[in-house]
Amino acid sequence: MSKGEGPVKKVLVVDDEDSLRSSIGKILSLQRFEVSLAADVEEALERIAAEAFDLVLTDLRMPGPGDGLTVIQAARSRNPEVVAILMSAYASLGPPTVDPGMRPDAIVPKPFSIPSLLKLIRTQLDMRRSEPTPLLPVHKAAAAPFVVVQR
Amino acid sequence: MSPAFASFVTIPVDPVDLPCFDPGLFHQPEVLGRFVTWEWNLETAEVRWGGNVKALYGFPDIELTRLTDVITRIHPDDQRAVVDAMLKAVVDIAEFDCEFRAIWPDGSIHWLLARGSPSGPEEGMPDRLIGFTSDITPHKAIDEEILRQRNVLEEVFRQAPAFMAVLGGPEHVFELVNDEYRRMIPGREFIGERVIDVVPEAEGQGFLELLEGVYRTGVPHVEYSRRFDLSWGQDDRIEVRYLDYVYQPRRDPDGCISGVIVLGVDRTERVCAEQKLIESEKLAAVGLLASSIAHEINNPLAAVSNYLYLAGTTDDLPEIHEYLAIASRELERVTELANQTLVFQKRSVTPVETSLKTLAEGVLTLYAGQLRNAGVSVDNRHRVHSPLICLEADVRQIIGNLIANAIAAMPNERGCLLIRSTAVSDHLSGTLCQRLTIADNGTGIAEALLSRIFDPFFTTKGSAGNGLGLWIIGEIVKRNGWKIQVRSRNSGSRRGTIVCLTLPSTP
Repeated sequence: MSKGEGPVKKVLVVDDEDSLRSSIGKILSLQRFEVSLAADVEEALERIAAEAFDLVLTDLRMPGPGDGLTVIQAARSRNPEVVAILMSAYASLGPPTVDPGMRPDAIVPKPFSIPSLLKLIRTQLDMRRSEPTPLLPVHKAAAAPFVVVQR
Repeated sequence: MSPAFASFVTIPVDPVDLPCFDPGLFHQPEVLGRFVTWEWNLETAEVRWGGNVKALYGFPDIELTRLTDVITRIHPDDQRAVVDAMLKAVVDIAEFDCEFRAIWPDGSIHWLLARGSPSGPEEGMPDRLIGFTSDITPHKAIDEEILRQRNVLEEVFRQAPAFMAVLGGPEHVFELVNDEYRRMIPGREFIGERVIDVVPEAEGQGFLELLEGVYRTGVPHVEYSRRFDLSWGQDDRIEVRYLDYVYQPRRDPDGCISGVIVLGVDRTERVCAEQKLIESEKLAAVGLLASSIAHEINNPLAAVSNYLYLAGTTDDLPEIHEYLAIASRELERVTELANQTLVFQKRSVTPVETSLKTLAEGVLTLYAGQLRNAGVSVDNRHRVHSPLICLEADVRQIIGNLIANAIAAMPNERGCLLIRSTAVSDHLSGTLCQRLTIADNGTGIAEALLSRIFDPFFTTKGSAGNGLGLWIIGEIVKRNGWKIQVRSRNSGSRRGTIVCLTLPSTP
């Protein structure tokens, strides 16, 4: 991070829109994140299988099987500490998910302002660092503040 | 004896003089039994019979020798009329003719006809009535049956759930109208009046010309959902009605056209309900599209916002140019989408020049998000390059509904939507046409259901569908006189649905 505290955070950006994926990737690189990109759920699951991420930014609906919630579930089972942010271009997110493991830490409706997204990421990562490693990470994730960033 | 008087003396009593009378018949007992001559002496009030009285009254003639005996055998309700008729004949020295009922000893009722005329010496007052009585019960039964049938027909005509009017002559004068007709055009006097006087507004709307045509040619004229603007009240307020009707020529027994029969059904409520349904379905389709469009707009907007941000993070000019170029491209996507959304909702009133390719591409832009998320690949190729002049919103709506159906039919991966256009010519008229084919490799429609797919509210999508999409397509196709064909297979390796829309290159 720009503050230069701790090791470089790993982030996975998942979106089927090329221009969005690469622009978010570039912006996060400038913020000294180590960025991986995935164009669909399948590719994202491959990346998650290969390494654990500190932050996942994913689109909700993408072509192919699965959706953003599948990505979040996989990332969280790989790293319970992961900060999962869901990006959606749809006005509503459909039925609320019952599985806390799929629940994102925040939902960002597209289009979003970059400074507020960066601020959200920073806050979420700081919250992780200030808290001890949870014994029951899934429950903690479920109880985490559910943030919706305004456009 | 006056000439009139003399003529009465012979005609009724001498059957030989009756037209077409066969003297042989007179000797047959069954005819004789129903036809009895008589003479009533005015001075003695005695009656002399010339035949089988029992066959008429059920009593032998010896019990009916006086007029009062005869009167008592007549139904009480008819006695007065018979006596009055006879007395009037005597006073006026004129023929009498009356029908009455006789009550037999067994209580049964028999209808009789009596005709007679006064007779007497050459000079002076008549001294007797002579005539005949015959049993007309069978005729009466037939008359009553005819009357009953006539009443039934009148009731049917009056109460029919269809409007009916019988017009006579070249001036189209109302001879009969039923209740439904009066309900359709209320508050006017019809009978004996000309159509042009009672329904003057019909003239400017082509109805009178049609009546003329039917009267002149004898060819019936049928129309469905024909609009009729009824003028209403003193300020001539217009009330729109939609009618299914037929103008049927009326012919005399000799085959000449004597008038026109108007028969029809007022479809106003149904047509209005259908129009409302189409509007609500359009709104629902817009709602469905809205989420797809939001997705399509928000994604490029997010990208624009990101690249503008990136442009602000660097001093490197080529890099800034690159970011701005990408942002500009993304904005063009939004502009294109906004334009397509606007034209999609625009109502066509007049045909415009366009092409199937343009229309298909426009609709595909709107459905791009849904198609991509459903994993549907699109193969959109066009072989027609000549222009198409049509109501473009109608074609757009058809394409949109068909694409939405295709997406719903391809829930699994590897769905393929194929859109083609080809030039064809109508076999019969030789008109140049264009054909749009939209095919999918989805679940297909069972053969048994194919005949119902254009029915309103018929759906194979369960609660996800409202069954109006194809019905609206059908209505649009019908309204424009286009053609639509659907082929589908729901089993085997080559499953899917192919829809072909054929429309003339110029309307």
